[in-house]
Parts: sequence; structure tokens; C-alpha cells
Amino acid sequence: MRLFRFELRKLFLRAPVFAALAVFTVLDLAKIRAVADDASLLRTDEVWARVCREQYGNYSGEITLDKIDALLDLYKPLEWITNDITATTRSDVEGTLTGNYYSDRNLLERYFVSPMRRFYNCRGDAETVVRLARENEALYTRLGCSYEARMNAAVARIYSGRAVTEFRYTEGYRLLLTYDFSAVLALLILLYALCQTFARDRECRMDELMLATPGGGSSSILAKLAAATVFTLAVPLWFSTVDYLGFGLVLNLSEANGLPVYAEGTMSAASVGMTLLGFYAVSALTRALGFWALGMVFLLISEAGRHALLPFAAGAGVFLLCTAAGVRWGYSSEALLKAANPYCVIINRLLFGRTEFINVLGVPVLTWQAAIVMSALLGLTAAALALFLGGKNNIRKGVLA
Amino acid sequence: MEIKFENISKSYRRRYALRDFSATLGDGVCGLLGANGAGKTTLISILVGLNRPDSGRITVDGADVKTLGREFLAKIGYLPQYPEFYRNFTVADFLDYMSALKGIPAAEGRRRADELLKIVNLSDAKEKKIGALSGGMRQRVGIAQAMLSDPAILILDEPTAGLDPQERIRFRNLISRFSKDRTVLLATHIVSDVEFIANEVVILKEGRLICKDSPRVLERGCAGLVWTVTLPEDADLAPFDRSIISNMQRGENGVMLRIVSRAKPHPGAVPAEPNLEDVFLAHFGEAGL
Repeated sequence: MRLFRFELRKLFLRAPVFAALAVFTVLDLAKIRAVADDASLLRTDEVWARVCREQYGNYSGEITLDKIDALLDLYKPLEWITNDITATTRSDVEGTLTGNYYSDRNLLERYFVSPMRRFYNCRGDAETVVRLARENEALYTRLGCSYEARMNAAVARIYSGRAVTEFRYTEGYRLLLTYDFSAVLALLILLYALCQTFARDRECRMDELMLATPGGGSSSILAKLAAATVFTLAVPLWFSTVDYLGFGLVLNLSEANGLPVYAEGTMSAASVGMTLLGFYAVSALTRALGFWALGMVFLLISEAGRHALLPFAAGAGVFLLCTAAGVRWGYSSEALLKAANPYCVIINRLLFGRTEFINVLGVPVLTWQAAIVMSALLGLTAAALALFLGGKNNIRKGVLA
Repeated sequence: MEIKFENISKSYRRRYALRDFSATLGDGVCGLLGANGAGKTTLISILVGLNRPDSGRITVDGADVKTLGREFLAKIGYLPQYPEFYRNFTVADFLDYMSALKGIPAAEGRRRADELLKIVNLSDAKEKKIGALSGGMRQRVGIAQAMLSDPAILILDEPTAGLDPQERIRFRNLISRFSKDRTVLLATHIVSDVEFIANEVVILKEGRLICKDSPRVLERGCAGLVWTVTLPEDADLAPFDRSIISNMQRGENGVMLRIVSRAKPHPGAVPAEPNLEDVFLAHFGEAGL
């Protein structure tokens, strides 16, 4: 435990690491604000923000037919008069919400009609998926295709009972769940700190001194691995927290915390059914796991260099390769290539956002489940190799000839 | 405590760094002398387990170190060549860290660190960052960490390299002080480091043991090989170009040369009392005698 505390302090609880963390946190918050300002008209248009607030009071909460009718009563006439583009373009029209017909229509379409339609249709869409999946299951069972039958049974189970019963503002979550900038920042900090793990001991010739002590071999490497584990989990979790607070501050996330994750448009085909807040927590933990796996690889690489620069470059190269592979296959149906790539575990909406399976000995396993197991295996393998390949004292090993 | 090296050999790419080295060391300071590349660091790195010999074995009080394992590592204090330590650690933190590595309980380690810092005259620098210390102070921190576990064997590899004369003397005195009731193996190529404090000197050359004895006996062994000659200021020194000159001093009477040679190097040369530097030069000067 003492060695762990010392390694944590020596490697990570250092002024340059804290300085980088502070600077990157500020940078992250600035980027969140820029993203929100760029994507949400409620941030930049005061009239829209006021109208949305007023209208939101009318439609938020439980979705009822009365609310839908009221919304359509307001929206349909606007749709008719703007469809042929003959409505006046004046911006001071009496009886409109924002002063302009087109602006009214766009606002209602974007913030009320479209999400309401999606929420309302969710139950029906899910029921269709369940019905088709059960039909497929029956067909494949008849044909003797057991894997396909199991897969369709799983799809039916996942989509069964899906419904969005409340109308809530989800724009903040849409931006939060597609925000990746903080992952790059976390990666840079991890690269910087982890690539020095072993190189630093070598640079100041402490490796020899340590190996000549009873606790300087495997015990010391284990302490390093434990300290690196804490650090690689803490940094992404910190940025996930900052992201949540940042977006929460500028786009009021709390409104949609209790909605199911599939209520958000980009996650409508998600294979999980928890709340948005719950999903964000799971996503943050999964992301941390992806960083941990990569972190252990960086740590292993750091054993190779006498100076930190080479491991830093090699680590960055590994991440770029993962990113290139993630961009190439992350949006494809190559589930195995996705699951095996830590990049997809970090940018995990690629995994959670789709219901797809990997065939493991005839059992359909969800891609995100396989990805978590594979990342854990990758991290453990890298850690075991770091322990195995790390400096050893020949006397301790008992192999002195 | 008796450390016995039995036929230790180690080669790198078919070149012997150590060849059939056998020696027995007892309590007191043992100076391991040799030119750069003579095999001193290889021998030390084999002793502390950083390197594996191609053949041979090391025993401590009759027990093979490979069977002692960690128990042996707990008995040694080691100061490697040119250590820098962690620049952002304070002296106290660093010693605390080394205590943890040596398995010394925290309170005991801190108490021992305070004692040692007092001895090495660094109590005032306890809270200073290691990066802010001079080379000499850092070496004193180095010997303090080596002494933390009160080791039976203290191993120092070129501990005075880069130190100014004052620090070198101070460090030498510290080694002498710490040598009571323990074996100190001090590897150096600086003869004066061991001349006055070593009970025994082991001279290595090209991986082989050349000689091993007390400094006085080694000096006596060179009796008749050391000469002094005083020449006029304008004398031609070219005839001495191939001689091993251990000292050249200009004075009022001319130039005084101290020469290590089997034969009388000059008609005017007179025999001189050998010192350890002469012994070293007799073995290493030019191609040796």
C-alpha cells in the first residue's frame, strides 16, 4: 500500500499533470460552450429561447392525446401556409410566436413536433420490431438456424415494452452523447503521464537502485500498475463529470435525466433500455475501461524506452491506429472489429447505439458486452506483460547461475 | 560476514567483462580498483543481482545468494553509479520511499532517516527537493538511502565521481564511519578514494583479478619500481615519453619526475617509497609493467 501511494504520487500527483488537467478542463468547458452555442439555437436566439420556455410548459411531462392535438393545432396551419412559401416573410406578424411564420414553424418542428413524433412512435416502432423478430425467430427455428433464432429472440427481448411516455427536452443529451473532444484531452494527459512510468526510473537511473531492494521488482511494478489503473480510470471519469456539468449548465440536462436512452434520436436503436442519466454513467464507466485498456498498453510500451519521448510517440501511434480503425469500421456492421477496438469502447455510442451481436460459440452476444470483455482482456494482458517483462532481480528470481 | 566470489565469468558479445573472478571479502572497506571498463560495475551488478553471470557463484557466509534470494537483498545497501534520484521528491520523501522499497516500517524508516541525515549532515536539507541539491549533497543522500536498513554489506559504485575535493574527502570519511562491523565494497578508479580507508584493495584489469591485498602490502610489492629524478628546467623530456610518469612537479631546482619503472629510468634517478597510485599505475599505466 505504501509503494502504491508513492507510485501514485511519483508518477501522477505531480504539478505538471495537475496543470495539464486544469488547462484541459478549462479548454473542455470552453469547447462545450462553443459546441452548445453552435448547435443549439436556444443559446443564441433570445426570442426562440423565450418561446421555447413558454411552449415547453404546455407540452412537457406525460404525453397525452390532448397535448398532441394542441401541438398539431398550432403547427399544422403553419405547415400549410409555409409549405408553398407564399406566407409573408415579415418578422413582426401579429399572432405568431416569434413574429415570423417560417421561424414559428421551424421552432415548433425542431423542438416540439419532431421529438414528440419520435417519442410517440417509439412504442409502435418497438412493437413492430418485436413482432418481426418473433416471426424471424419462428422461421429460423423451423429452418434449424439456431443462432439466428436466438439472435431474433434477443432482439425481441430487448425491444419488448419500449415506450416513451413523457415529453422532455433532449437537445442537451444529444450534444453530450456525441461530444468526443474531452476524450482527446484525456488521452493526451494519459499519454503524457503513462509514457513516463518506466522511462522516468531509467532516466534517473533509479531502476538499478530499485531492483537491488527487496520491494523493487514485481512489488514495485504491481504498485505502478495499481497507480496507473487509478489514474487511467480517474482522468476519463473526471472529464465525463466535467462534460455532464458543462452541458448541464448550458443546456439543462436534468430535464431529460429520467427518459429512456432510446428517446434520444441518435440512440433510438440502442441495445440498452436504461435512463439517459443511467446510460451516461454506464457510458462514462465503459469509456474509462477503454482508456484503462489503452493505458495499460501505453504502460507496456513505456517499458521499451529509456526516455519518455519514444513511448509517447509509440503510444500516440497506437491510438492513431485505433482511431483510424474505429473510423473505418466503427460505423460499419463489422461488429467484431468494433468490439476489438478500444477506440470504440471509448467512443462507445458506436457500440451502445446499435443492437448488433457477435456470434460466440453459437450464442449471440451484444457488441458492447463483447467489447467490454475484450477491452478488459487487452488491459489485463498488457498489464501481465508489463509485469512479466519488467526489470527483474536475478537473485530474487533465484536464477543466479 | 564473508562474501565469496567463486569463478565468476561474464561476457558480452564474446568479450569477457569478467573472467574467472574469485575472491573472498571480509568486514571492512574493500576498494575495487580498475580502469574504466575493467569489470568493476559488472562485478557489482552481478553481486546485487542486476546481472547474471555466465558461470560461477557467490556465497555469503557459506550460503549461495540464489538460495538467500530476498533475504540477501535485505542485507545489502547499494549506491549505483551516477544516480540522479527523483528530482521532484524532497529528501525526506525519497528516503521514505526507499524505506518502503526495503520493507522498513514507515515510523522506523523515518526515525532511521533522521539519524542518517544527521550523520551525513543533511538535516537542514530534509525538506529540500532533490533537484535543488548539489552533486555532493545528492551523493550523501545516496549513501543515507543505502544505509537505511543498516545493511551488513554496503556496495558503492564510483560514489565520488564528479565530486569536488572537499566533498570527496567528506564522502570518504562517511564511508569510513559506516564501515564499522560491515563489509563495504567500494568500486572506483580514483585511487585516493581507497588509499587511506581501504583494509583491502582488489585490482581488476580487463575482467581479471590482478591482485588483492591490503594497500600497504600492495605498496611493498612495488618496492623498487618507483623512482624520482630531478632534471634541469630546460632538460629534454622526450626520453621519458614512453615512461609511466606518476607525477611531474616544477620547482626551484627544476622538474621533479616520479616514474614507475622496472629499470632505473635515468642515471640520476633515486628509489622512492611507493604509494597506491604507483601500484595502480604499475598495472594500468600504458600497457602495465
